[in-house]
Amino acid sequence: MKYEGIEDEAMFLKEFESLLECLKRQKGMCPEVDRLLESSAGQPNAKAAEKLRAHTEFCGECLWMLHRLMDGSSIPGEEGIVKQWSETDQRMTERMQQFLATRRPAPAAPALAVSQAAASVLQPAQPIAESARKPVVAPMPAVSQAIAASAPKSAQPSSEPVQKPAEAPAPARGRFRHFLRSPGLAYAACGFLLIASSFLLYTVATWQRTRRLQQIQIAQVREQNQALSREREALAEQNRRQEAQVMELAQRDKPVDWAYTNPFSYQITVHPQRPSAEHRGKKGAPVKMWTVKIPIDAQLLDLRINMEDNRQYGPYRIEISDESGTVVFEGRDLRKDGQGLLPLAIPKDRLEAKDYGLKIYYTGNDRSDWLAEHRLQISR
Amino acid sequence: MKKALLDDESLVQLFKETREEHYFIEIFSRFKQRIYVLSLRLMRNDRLAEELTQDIFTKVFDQINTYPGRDFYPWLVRITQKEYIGRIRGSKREAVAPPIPSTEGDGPILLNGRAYTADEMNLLCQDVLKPVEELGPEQKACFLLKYTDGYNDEEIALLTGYTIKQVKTYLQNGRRKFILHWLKSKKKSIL
Repeated sequence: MKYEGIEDEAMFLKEFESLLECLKRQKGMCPEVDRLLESSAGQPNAKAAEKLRAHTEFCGECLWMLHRLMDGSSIPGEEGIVKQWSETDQRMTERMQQFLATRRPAPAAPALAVSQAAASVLQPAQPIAESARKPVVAPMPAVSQAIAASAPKSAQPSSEPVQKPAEAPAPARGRFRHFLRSPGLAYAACGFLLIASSFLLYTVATWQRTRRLQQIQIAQVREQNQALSREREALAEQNRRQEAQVMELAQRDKPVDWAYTNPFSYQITVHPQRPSAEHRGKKGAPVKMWTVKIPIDAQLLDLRINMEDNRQYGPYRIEISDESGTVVFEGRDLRKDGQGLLPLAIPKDRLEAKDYGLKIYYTGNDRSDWLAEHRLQISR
Repeated sequence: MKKALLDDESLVQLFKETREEHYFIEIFSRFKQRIYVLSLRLMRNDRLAEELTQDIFTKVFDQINTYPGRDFYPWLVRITQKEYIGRIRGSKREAVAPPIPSTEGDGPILLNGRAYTADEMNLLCQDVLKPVEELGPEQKACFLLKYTDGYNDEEIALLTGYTIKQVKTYLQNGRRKFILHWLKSKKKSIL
């Protein structure tokens, strides 16, 4: 066979080189990231979907990425990896802190700028004209220009003879005289005022922003509190309803512990007696009838049957059926007690005030012998 | 307490407005595990997943202005997916980029010394695709990654998360199956 042993990669490549090359050529360009993501989210248009499908027939990379993007299932060993989360978390947090440190503005920069500005402002007093010729100090160009413009013209260098101006400024008087005569001090004071006002503006802006954020947060907290209060009230109401329901159910479904309820004991003596075939199961059959009056406060009829047969223990089965023949109560595997009585406890609510049939069977030796049939009249 | 009470969207909005670091730290702490698990599912490698997660949050820090203002987590997922695709495509070796087919005009296409018309080429491709379609999903992915995208076994293992042994097995079985189906189709065409 020509292709025997061709699973070997080198042979495979040699044999199918042309075909594989054909696949490569047909692949074309991979789709844009957004197209791929749209497709993975299941929202491409029909044309794009067809184009992508045609592409992924040839492109293992796109096929695989699409499969990965659409596959939301967990991976083998994921639980173990996630269990080691604390270590991973620590590593990532450290890296993130390093990253954030690189993005923080250098803390020294503003201080340096301020000190440079202050130094330029507080430089030794020199003639204003000289300082005005110098390049304007970078941090405060407007101030420097303003000061230079406001400087007395007499200080500026000029080839013209000095003349007294027509409207010379009034000489400085009083306590500010010295201050006004010293331009360096004026310059320093302006600089100081500028820094102080900048600082004040910054403080006010920061305070306003903080206050705005606080207001937003307070509003959110208030809203959340209100939502929580509403939720709490709803839950409390629900709780109340559920408690009431639970109490009602508990009351309704409370298992009656018949052993501790008020039993009414009644003893009857039964001789093995079966009605004749013609009367069997019919009303008016000549059988013995007992009338039992159950007191109102009794919850249980404790019927004790003195079975006068020659069997010592039993077991017996007793059926109580209504007039239609429906068995309303049945006692199985009953055995005589120490006094030779068959105990049969019947809840009161199973017996209405009417006539019932009472059938007694002996069920020993894997058979059921019908021993007696009598009637029982219940009244309240 | 204040940050903890804020919902995700408000927190991100605050970070977008203020660019304050503590908001970003809170965002990072809320989403890092989810993004890490997503990255892990995409990359199938814990080291690469960590790197991807780190890069995602770096991008979030730098590009928060592009956040549209709602659905932060879907936005984050989309960034992660884009970054994943970018990484996979970026890792492809330049050397394996296929030559641009000379399909302009009606001239023949030269393939390994033989000239094909465009129709012949299409027919040939359809013939090749049929056996490829018969491969199982893992076999098909490994087969195409190897023979059309030019990845080697180690790169396929890194990309898919399979072991190298698994990759070799998928490839070997894929080749065998490909040949079987190829032969079958040839027989049919002869008959």
